[in-house]
Amino acid sequence: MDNGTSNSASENETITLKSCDGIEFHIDARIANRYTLLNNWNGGESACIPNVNGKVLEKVLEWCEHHINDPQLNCGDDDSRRRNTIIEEWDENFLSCDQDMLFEIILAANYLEIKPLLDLGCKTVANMMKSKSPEEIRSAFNIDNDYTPEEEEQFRKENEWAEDY
Amino acid sequence: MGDMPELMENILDNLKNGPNSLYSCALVSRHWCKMSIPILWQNPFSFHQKPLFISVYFSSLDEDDIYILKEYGINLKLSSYGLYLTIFRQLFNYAKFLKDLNLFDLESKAREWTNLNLVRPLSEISSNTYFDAVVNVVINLLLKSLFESGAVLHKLFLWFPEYFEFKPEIFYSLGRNELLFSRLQHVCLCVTPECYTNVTIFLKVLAKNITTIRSLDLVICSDFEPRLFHTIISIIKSQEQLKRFSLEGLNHPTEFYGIISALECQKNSLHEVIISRCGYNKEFRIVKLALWRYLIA
Repeated sequence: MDNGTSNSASENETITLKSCDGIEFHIDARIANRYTLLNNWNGGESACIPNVNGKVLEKVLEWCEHHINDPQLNCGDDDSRRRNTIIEEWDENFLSCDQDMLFEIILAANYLEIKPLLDLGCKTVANMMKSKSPEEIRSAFNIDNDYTPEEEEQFRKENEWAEDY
Repeated sequence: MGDMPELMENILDNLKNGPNSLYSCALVSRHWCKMSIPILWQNPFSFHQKPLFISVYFSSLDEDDIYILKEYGINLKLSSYGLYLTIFRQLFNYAKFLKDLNLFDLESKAREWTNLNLVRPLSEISSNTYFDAVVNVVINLLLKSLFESGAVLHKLFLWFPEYFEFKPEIFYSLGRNELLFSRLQHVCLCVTPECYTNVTIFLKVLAKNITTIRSLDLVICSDFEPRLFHTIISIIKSQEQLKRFSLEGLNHPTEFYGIISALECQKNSLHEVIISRCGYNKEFRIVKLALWRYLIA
């Protein structure tokens, strides 16, 4: 039975990826084998990954390399993986970067269809909102409150049960 | 955050077990509200919060239904909260966001809500039967509100208390709202002999309308009624992609009236079959080896 860790590429094989600002990365071919979209950009001298710059691509590839031996999950495991809110220490340190970089990594993971990194990024952002007041969330993500006082009052009336514990 | 609205749902989904956090997120801005509210209301019955959200569902009741509740000692307009909800047009059709309906949780919250809203508190009511009758009315009105809201369920946990009886209009609602079960993927059915009539009628509606179940869990008794098995068999056979099936017996049942054999027609899609606490039956031999190797007795 396939344990989800087998890759057809050998350990010594490398491929070349180029970021949108022209920085080249030589990576283990097994990484590209796991994530189809990375594989699509393999090799071509002029081929570069649009929308992902060198700084972000370097971080994304660092994460992929660290997790190269993780078992690949089936579609059915998706929900249980997402429900698990625990983040491993290495991943937590890895995403302890500034907010702009965190969002860039999430966008890149989404664009490159690297689902586990996307989920990890989303989980990290969600943890930043947990048990925070609306004011704290606004200030953390630099968002303006565009409710009218009447709307806000009505919203509170209809949803106050969720605040209560 | 403004650059990634398509990812907001993914982010907020991680908070779906924390109503307080979703409530805060919804108060951040109008846009965040639109993203958070559908997640907050996916399955409010599962939260530990007091079930005041039931009053929000009931604000859409018509005058006849409000009168029925009043007859049973619940006056929706008595509290300022209830009065507010029945007078003002709500910001959202909250019932429409329900995705996961668990009748066990719903019954428990309906009891709690009834206790909070009865004009005469529970401590003054001597008869449990009367209280059960009021809860029965509350559950029926709740189901009617939910089924007629335009909600599209993804998960359904069917469980019925002994005293429960569906009002005929519930089945009318079920038949009328085709979207309700159109994306149903996970069904769990847990029935005891006391509620066979209710369950059989409900399952017949399911069998007629659903082809999308991917995971089916059954908990059955040793003295299950054969006609109930026939309905379950027709549900099994009519699914297009049944991937997971589990059967758990109460009192080690040994007769399955063809349920196990019916799995044969799902052998191309089934990935997992779990049978537990059941006695051996010749039906197990009928299932082809290709499927049998996945069985865990």
